[in-house]
Parts: sequence; structure tokens; C-alpha cells
Amino acid sequence: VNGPFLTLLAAILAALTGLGVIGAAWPRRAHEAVGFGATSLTGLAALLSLLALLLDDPPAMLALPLGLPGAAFRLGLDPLAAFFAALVFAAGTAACAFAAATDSAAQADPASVSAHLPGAAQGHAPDAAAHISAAHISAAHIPAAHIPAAAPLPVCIAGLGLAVLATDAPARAAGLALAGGALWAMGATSRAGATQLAITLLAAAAIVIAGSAPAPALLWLALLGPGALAGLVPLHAWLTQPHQTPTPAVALLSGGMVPVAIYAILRMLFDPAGAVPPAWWGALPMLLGAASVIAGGLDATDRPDLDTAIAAGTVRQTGLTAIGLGIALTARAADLPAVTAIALGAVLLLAALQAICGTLLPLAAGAIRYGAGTRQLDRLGGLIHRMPTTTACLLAGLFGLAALPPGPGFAALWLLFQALLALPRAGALPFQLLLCALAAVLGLGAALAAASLLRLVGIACLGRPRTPRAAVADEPPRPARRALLTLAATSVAIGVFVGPFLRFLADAPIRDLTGTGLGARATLLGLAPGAESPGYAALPLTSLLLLAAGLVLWLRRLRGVPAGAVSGPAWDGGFAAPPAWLPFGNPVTQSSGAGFAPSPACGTLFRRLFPLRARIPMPKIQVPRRSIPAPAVVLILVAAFLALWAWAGAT
Amino acid sequence: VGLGGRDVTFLLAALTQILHIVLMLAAAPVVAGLQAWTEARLAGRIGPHPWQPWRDLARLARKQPALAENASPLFRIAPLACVAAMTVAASLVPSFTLGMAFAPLADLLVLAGLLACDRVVLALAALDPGTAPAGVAASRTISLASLSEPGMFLVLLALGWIGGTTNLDLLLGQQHQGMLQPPAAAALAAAALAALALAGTAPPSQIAEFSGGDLALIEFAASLRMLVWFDLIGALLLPLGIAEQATGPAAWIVGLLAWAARTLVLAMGLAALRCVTGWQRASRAAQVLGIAAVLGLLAALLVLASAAAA
Repeated sequence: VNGPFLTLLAAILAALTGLGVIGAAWPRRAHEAVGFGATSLTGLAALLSLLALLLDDPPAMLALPLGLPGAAFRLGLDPLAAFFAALVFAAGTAACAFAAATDSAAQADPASVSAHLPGAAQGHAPDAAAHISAAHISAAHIPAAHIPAAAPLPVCIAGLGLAVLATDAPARAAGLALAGGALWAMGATSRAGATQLAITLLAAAAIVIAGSAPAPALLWLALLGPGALAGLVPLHAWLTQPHQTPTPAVALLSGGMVPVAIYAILRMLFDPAGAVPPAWWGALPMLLGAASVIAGGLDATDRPDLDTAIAAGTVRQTGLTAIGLGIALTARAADLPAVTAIALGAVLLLAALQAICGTLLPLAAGAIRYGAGTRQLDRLGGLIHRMPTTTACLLAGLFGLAALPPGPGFAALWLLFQALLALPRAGALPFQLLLCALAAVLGLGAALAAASLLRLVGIACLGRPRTPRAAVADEPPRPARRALLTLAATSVAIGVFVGPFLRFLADAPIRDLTGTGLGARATLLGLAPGAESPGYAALPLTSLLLLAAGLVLWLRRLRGVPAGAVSGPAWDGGFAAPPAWLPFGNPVTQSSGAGFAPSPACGTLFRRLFPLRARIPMPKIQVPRRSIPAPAVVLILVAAFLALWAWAGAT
Repeated sequence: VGLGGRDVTFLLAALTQILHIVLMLAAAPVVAGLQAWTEARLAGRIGPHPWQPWRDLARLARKQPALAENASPLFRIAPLACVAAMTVAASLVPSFTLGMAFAPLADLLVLAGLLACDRVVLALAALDPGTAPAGVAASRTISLASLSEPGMFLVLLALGWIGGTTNLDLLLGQQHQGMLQPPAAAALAAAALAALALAGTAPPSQIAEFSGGDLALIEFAASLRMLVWFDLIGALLLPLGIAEQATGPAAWIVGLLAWAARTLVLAMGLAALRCVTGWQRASRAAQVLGIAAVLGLLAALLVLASAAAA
């Protein structure tokens, strides 16, 4: 079967590859044309995939005139592929638009950039940047003038598109490898780039092997191959390495690669034609996901850099996705199709968030790195005054990932929790205890996401500038801001209209995977755990919040309260104003990025179990030992007794 | 025009919803005043009149806010956002009757999310002027939240398991009819919530720099937050007298009296507990939160144990 949408998408993939070749051949002359062409082609591809999904286009198939002997590359477009293609192309459009905008700004004024980098005017700028010890000097922006960043970008998107649209394992792996190679080319020869390439090739190899592997190996291959690419725990450290990769490449890595990895896992584990996997399959992703949520969440609250903290947030989100996958697998094994549908709805929503917010956040961080000249939190501050749009976008992106209503992250968490609630019938007592632990981990993940939001926005964008450079930060050029704003608006819209989003976009893929769609669980107003039961009504909740705020404003006006406010020195607990030679106040009296949000108990416990960093020898101070409070001991004993009792009752 | 049964039900639901919101908005500062009065009496002082918070609010609302030089627009939006979140939360938690118009929206996770929203917005506003004490307060708030949320979610899991739903109205309806089985699990869950409220709403709300009308809004939101907790715990622990859906004004008055008694006991009890034990210390708050988490786990285990024994 040959559909018009698939043919057009295949043509766009070919055209993107061609653009990459043109960009590589004439880096200077073709620069702007390639940037413009890639943006519009990718945007068109995103629209086409979205249309195919909305119009419920019948599944199509297309054989490509290339491939290995005996294994021709075939493309297919079913609802799941269309969903993920729309995500990947949307992320690609934003990355291309941002790259084109900042690149042309740099071409117009290359001196302003290279002036920061002694010795970087010739040769490979990222190399030079990597050797400069002050890592805060902007590298986001340098490649534009010197290496053809525009060239690998369309190729990477074409590779990601191929990985989504391919129907066979070798073709999917080839697409992934192509995308990874293009990203590596953009990140030049840094060590982080090489690790990223290695992980991508590992994932590609896992996909190829899984094509002919026996069923029991599939789970391990999926979690250690594409799972590692998405940042799942045992192999997550590569994602949060400090790097000098240009911003669009980072955005594509987090907003394009990670969703594609999730897509590959879905394809490997949810084969509708295959046999239903055993029940224990669900436990492994749950455990790894819980570990990722804790590790990534804690990491995101104490990384000193803006972009590594954001990458740690990706690990946390992938952990949530893995928990959703685990719940879906368990429910499928226990023959609870409705629960499977809810859990898969959460997975698809999380993937969409990763594509939207996961692109938005690295781009906003890149804009800050370019505009304020650093990515170290402790050298930023007060950006909201100089970069209001970027600040708003960073806030919107982090809000999208955090579990705060009416954001989309909250809807995903709500779905996960509802699926978790419906599960205890699926297993024995040890499994039910795992569910208790997962509930606590979901809560911890929500709290850590909020802490990460507070820390990144609060330290980088609010407060006083911590360095003179941050005090003169500049917004990115207008087209780049437009890309950021579009992504931010999309994230907010998904949060408010999460019901229609899942109903119209995610229902068909879920029906394909499990045989049961979300149906009446996703309505115009919001989400519900069952057809007739009340649930999370996102749209009414948002309207109520707006109504309440509007009423307060109206009352204030009614009472004739003066609308404006007088401005003066901060009260600051009554301390004297800083002397005139400290124009931004005393820098040490402001919260710093280090140790801002330590989670007292579990953070210390976790770090004691998994020491991640070098220990600094400190002088010994005699501290009286604190004993565990007696009530806690009693409670823990009672808990143990209850568990034993339940165990005895169960067997 | 004849009114069908559904129309009457809807009208009653809308009416009770409006009455409930008015009641919550009016009562929140009074409850805060009662707490302050109790604490002062227990400490041997005369203490402010219970109406004092209302008087303060009226005085502050007339004043023009004075902003720190470095404050951003976010600083002006934050009080609005806090009040909006807490007003919506307060409108969702039943007081004197069940089956109000917003009952389908009253999801426990949404309530937890609204409380978290309020916390984050307040902490962001605290960081905005770039002063030291507010920054420390923000950092502490968010650290404590990472301890309280796991406990909160365990409680929600236990309640969801025994009630089969996370909708507060349905849960309270079952509790009212004695259908939340085992009752000990519901009691444990409510106790865990009480511990969370105790530690999560500890007084140092000295996120300074707010003034005038903005400060009034922040204080009002704080008193609403307290009342939301009292309503939630009170209704779960002692749902006596709460009116069922579509009952007449007589049942509402009974429900109102029961609610007043419940809230009074909880507010004064909490104030007394604070006085006696000095919960204000941050390290104590962490301990209390740990105990809340264990209580939540106990509730969940109790549900599992009774299900296994049955």
C-alpha cells in the first residue's frame, strides 16, 4: 500500500539529506539557504505526520531503492510512527530555526564571537573551546562562523526520521546511526561527542540484534540499548557529561534522540503480533525507572551548570517513562487492557513532553550561554530583566516537566498514578510492596522536578546578577526567540488541552499497540480513570485558576487600590544597603547554585550508597551522634510486623 | 417552567458550592486568628483578637506596595497566583456538604499539585529580590517538600486503594457511610496527612519583601492553605454530620456546625501542639515528615494486609 503522506515524507527525508550535502560542499555560500530550507522542510514534515495521524490515514508501506542485499529498506506509516514522526520533526524544526537564526546573527558579526576566544579564529572552534579552561566561554555560538553546523543538522533529522519511519530493524538502526554520526560531526571530536556516538551505535546494534533474538533477550536488549540512549540508569552518566556541543545538537539529542529511543523500545517490547510477555518483565523497567528518577532528580538539583542540570532532568523523565512502560507491561501480562492503555497514554505524553520541553530547555540554555556568556549557575542571576522572553521560556519548559497543575507533566504523573492504583490485582505481595515504593518514588520525582525548576530559574534568572557579564546579558535574535516561544506555547497548550491531545493524537497508536484505546478516558475537558468516573479536569481547573486571579484583580481595582507600586531598596531583613562600590549588592548574600536544594535524608542516603564525586577531606569536628527518634523506631517495627502478617496471610 | 430532578440537583450543587466558597474565604483568616490567639494564651500572653487577621488584611489592602529595586514582574504575579491556587483548592475540599458543583474536579492529586504550585510560586518570588533570608527560606521549603511528597503520595496510594478512586468527594462519601475499609487504614492516612500539615505549614512564612496589597494576598493565601489542610484531615478523620448530596438546608446547618466544631478542634489542637513541642525547628520538621511517610506506608501496608487476609 502506498500512501501520499508516506511518499511525501520519504521525499522530504531525501531532500534533507541533499541539503546536508549541499551545506557541507559550500559551507559559506549555501549557509542561509540550507538553514531556511531545512527549517521549512522539517516543519512541513511535522505537519504532514500530524495530518496523517489526525486523518487516520490507513497504514502505508514504501520500499526504498537502497539497503543491504536481501534486506531492502522499507518505510511504513502507522499511527505510532506518525505520532513519533510528528514529535521528532517538530523538535527538528525548532532546532533548525534556532540554529539558522543564531548562525546568521553570528555571520553578521563574527568579531563579537571570536573576540572571546584567543586562537579560535582559525581552525576548529570547538576544539579550541574545549581546551580553554574557562568552560563558561560561549561555545554555543562559535561553530556558525567556522564549521558548517548547518550541514549535519538536516542529515541528523533525516536519520531520526528514517529511524521512526523504517519498518525493519536494520533500517531503523541505520537511521539511528546516521543521526548519531551527524550529531558527532557537529560536536566535533570532543570526548563527550565520542561517548554519545558509541552509545548511539550500541543502541543501533541492540535494535539489529533484537530483530532476530529470542523473546527473553528482548527486554534486556531494549533496556540496555535504546534505554541507554534515552538515559536509563545503569548507562545514564554519558548524558550528563559536561560538553562543548553546539546548542542545536544538544537540543536534537534530548528532544529528538530520546523520543526515538522510547519509540524503539515500544516497538521492541509491544509487538501486537507477538506472544504476551511474562509478568516479571514489568518489574525490571519499574526498578530501573525508579532508580533513574531518583538519580536524575537528585542530580538535576545540584549540577553546577545549566545544561548538565537540564540533561539530568532528562534522566529523571526517562525514569518516569520506564515506570510507565513497566506498568504497561505488567498490566498486559495480567490482561488488564484498560490499565495498559492508561500507562501507555502516560508514556506517549512523556515522550511528547521530552520532544517539546526537551528541545526547548537546551535551546533556552543555549540562548543564556550565548547571551550571558556562561552556563555556570553561580555566574548568572537577574536574567529576567535583560532576557525576559528566554526566562519565560525556560520557566515554561521546566514547568512542563514538573508535576504542577495545570502543566502537562502533572497530567503524565496523574496517568501514571492512576495506572499504579489499578495494578495491585496483578501480582503477589512482594510486587505490591514494589508498587508502594513506586508511589513514593513518583512523589519524590515530583518534588525533585519542582526543586529543579526553582533552582534553575531562581538562581539563573531571578535575583541579582552575580557577575558583570550577566548584568549585560542579551536576548537571542528575534527569530530564535520565536522558535522558543512556539515551543513554550505548545507545552502550555498540551497541558491545558491534555484530554484532546491524547484523544486525537495518542488514541490511535495505543489502540494499535494494545487493542484498546483510551476512549472515554480522555475527553475534551481532561482525563478520567474510567468512562463514568471523575478524574483530572485540566481545562476547567485552568479556567477556575484564571477566574480566581481575575476576580482578585477586579476586586483590587474596585476598591480603588493604587495599581502601581513604589520602588526602593530591598528590606532584606533590616540589613543596611550595600555600599556604592557593590553595584549589584554583596554577592555572597545571595543563594548560590551549589547546595541550594539538598534533599536532606534521601539525598545523603543515596550519596552514601553511590558516592558520585571526590570527597574533600574536612577537619574532623566532634558532632554528637543523633539517634533515631523512638517513635520512628516503633513505627518501623510495626510496619515490619504488618508486612510479615500480610505475607503470612498471602501464602 | 418546570424543573426536572437533574436541574434541581444541579442548582443545589451550584448553590452549595457558592456558599462553601464564601464560607471558606470568610473563615480562613478567622481560623488563623484563633490559632494565634490560642498560641498566645498558652504562652501566657493576652494575644490578638481572633478578628485581627481580617483587620490586618483590610489595612494592608489599602496600602500601595513598595517593591525592592530588583523585583521583576514575577514578584507582582506571585501573590495573585498563590491566592488563585489556594482559592481553587479551598473550593474543592468539602466543608459542610458533599456533592457540590466542583466535586468532579476534586481530585486528591490535583489538591496536592495545587499545594505544590503555591509552594513553588512563593519560593520563586522569595528568590526574586535576591536577598539572603528569603533565599534560605526558599531553599528550606523546597528541601522539606522533597521529604513530604513521598509521604503524601503513599497516603494517596492507600486512600486510592481503599476507595477505588482519588476523587475526594467520592472518598468522603464512602467514609461517611463507613465504607472505607479497613477503617484503621483511613485513620492512619489521615494521621499521616495531619503530620504533613504540621510540618509543611510551619509558621516561618517570613518570605519578606512583600508589602501592602501583595502582602495581604500572601497572608490570605497562607490562611487558606491552613484551612484546606484542616478541612481535608477533619473530613477524613471525623466525617460526622457532613450533609449528603441534594439534602435540604437543615442538613446543611448540621453540617456547618459539625464543620465548625471540627475546624475549631483541629486549629486549637495544632496551636497547642506547636506550643508544647516547638515544631518550628527545621530539623524537627524533617523528623515529623519522616514519621508522616512511615504512617503513609503503614496505611498502604494495612490495606494490603487486610486484602490478603480477606
